[in-house]
Amino acid sequence: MKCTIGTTNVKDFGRAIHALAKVGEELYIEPSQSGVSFRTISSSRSAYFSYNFGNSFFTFYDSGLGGQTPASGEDTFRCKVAMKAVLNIFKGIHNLERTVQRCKLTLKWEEAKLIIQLTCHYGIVKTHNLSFIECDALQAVYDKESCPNHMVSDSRVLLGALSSFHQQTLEEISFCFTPRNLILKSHVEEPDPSKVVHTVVTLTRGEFEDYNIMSNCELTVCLKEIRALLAFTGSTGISTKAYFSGPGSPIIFTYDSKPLYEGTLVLATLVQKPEVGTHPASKSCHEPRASTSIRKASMNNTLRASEISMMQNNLPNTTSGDKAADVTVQNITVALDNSRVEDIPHQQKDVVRGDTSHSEPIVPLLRNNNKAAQEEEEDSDTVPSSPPAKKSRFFFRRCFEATFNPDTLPGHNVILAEDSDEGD
Amino acid sequence: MKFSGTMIELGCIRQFALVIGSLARLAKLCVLRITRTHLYFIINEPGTVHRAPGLWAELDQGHYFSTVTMSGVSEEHNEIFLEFEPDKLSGTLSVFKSNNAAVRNLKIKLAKKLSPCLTLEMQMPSFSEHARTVVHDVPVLPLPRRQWHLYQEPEMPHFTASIYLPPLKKLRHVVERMKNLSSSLTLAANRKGTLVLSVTSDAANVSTYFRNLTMPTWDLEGAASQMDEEQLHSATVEIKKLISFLAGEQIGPCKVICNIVDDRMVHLFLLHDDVILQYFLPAARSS
Repeated sequence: MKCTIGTTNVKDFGRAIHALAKVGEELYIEPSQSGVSFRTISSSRSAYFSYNFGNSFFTFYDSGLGGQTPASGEDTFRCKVAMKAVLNIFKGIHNLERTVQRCKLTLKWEEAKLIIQLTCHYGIVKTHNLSFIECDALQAVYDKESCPNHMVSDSRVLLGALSSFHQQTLEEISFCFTPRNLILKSHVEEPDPSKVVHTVVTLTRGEFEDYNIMSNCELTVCLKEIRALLAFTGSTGISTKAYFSGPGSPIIFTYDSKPLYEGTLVLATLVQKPEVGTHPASKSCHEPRASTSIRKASMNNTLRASEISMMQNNLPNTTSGDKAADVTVQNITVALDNSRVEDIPHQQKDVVRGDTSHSEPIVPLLRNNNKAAQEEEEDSDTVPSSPPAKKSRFFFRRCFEATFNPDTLPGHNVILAEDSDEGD
Repeated sequence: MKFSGTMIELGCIRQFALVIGSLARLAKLCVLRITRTHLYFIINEPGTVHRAPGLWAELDQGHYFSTVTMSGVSEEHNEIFLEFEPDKLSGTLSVFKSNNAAVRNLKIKLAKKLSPCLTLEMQMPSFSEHARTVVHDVPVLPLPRRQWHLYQEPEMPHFTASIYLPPLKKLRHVVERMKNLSSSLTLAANRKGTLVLSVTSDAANVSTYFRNLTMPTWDLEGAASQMDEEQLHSATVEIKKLISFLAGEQIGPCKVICNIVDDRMVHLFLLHDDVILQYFLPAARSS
């Protein structure tokens, strides 16, 4: 692949890299006939961020794929590079805009090198050679069409609202959508909610370009990724669309400047805690560990939502096209044979899927999820068995008392049945 | 216990935010005393002379608030003492530090939510006809009456020299340079309008002289006038603390008085139309 970014677009590209870098540590690059996608996923796999740059974004573009889109996924080249390395090249966006005349990106498959060449003023040419690793496709499974709720917001509205949240330690934020208002709340669980500043921002629906909410819902998401997204949209001034269905299923943010580029951020949302919601007092005794398990569960739910979208026969918009998507479905069932794939044939089990036989990014995650699911099952198993234990404590109450001494009982030294023999 | 007040004027809100901001730089914990007419911010510093607070700030409610309702713990003791972290409060007000900040009104009230808190309700301009409401709950700790005596108004110290300081910006510039040389600074003044800032290090002895400064006239002095007018009275303080005080220049005080108690403490008095800030800097043992 070879492409050149003109001087006007370098800034946007740099900003996109900055936004991606705030979410993930690896940058996945996937060239196709119609453009290049740059993607990343957060280390906890709760956020997926993707940029598709169209042909027209570049002054020169050659996908290097030959004439047609390859039929099987194997022929497409995909690779990933360390995010930090790329970020360093595009550091200082304002300087970039002033000094860089064009930026040339070249993927050399034979040498496994990504070459980024910046041609600056005064004939200075900076060439960066980055080694990449060939990898599987990174593609979140989501379907924004099936989401009943959506809103379109000018980035300034959300940026302004988020500027009211000052706490440095705040990690999560709740979006409460009601048909009339959007209420933003700081979401604090630990260690003591009564010791921190709580902030609530109320925005009326009139502030949004489009606001279509079917029913009230409260979504809790990570602030970091939202900030990354808004940093980009705020500087380019394009509006953001959000699609969502409810707590536990992902919220999808998209924005585009067609035909130049489009960005998509898929964020896992927290599952609402049933008991905690009804007893506000129990919130204070919430431990950090609990919150991580909830986050795990929310991940599961992200998956569930994606399955639903698959069942509705709405294939996600993959860059590789419907055909490739079919292939990936089959491949993944092969790849994940050793984990519980039998239960869910031909269905996606993850936000992220790989489509070669060694789908390295998925398997560990899947196991984790299964483990989490099993743990949940075990937990639910112990619940019905606990009353008998309680009963025994009730009936044999005296035996559990502190002053109880078995030697004082009549006939304590009479052995009715001998101990059984050892060894056999 | 009830308190709620509404601020409308942007200038007042901004100044309020600046006062809180300078509190945040000085200490982790601060006490807010609310009376019928005033708000007091008090920072108690451990180890000061006569348990004098490190800072005593006095704000006139009438100037800041357009409407106030307040009722104290009881009829007899019609006051409220709240302990809070100024850092948190200052964070919620940081919107007003930028010059283009706009707000329709700011309402501060004492509320009981998850815990007792000061609730700040702001009506911000928005892109629609309805205002955008922003609500911050800053947790506070109401102090019981038995602790009130710790936060009483400090007495005017028996100083030996008193002088109006030159513009704080200038002073700050000098002190920040001196900070690189030593960790403590000696403030000295006489009755002829001379102020000397000096630091001592192994290699050098640096002094900056300000001459012909005006001096406030105090009623309480009398006997002291017999002393030699030329004699310098000095106290050595930690530079770091002095700098955090000098950052208070943002409030834009009309006048700053510096009172020096020989080798005991430096008492700094910031006067503004509606804010009075008193800083008590204990003298550090000069090595």
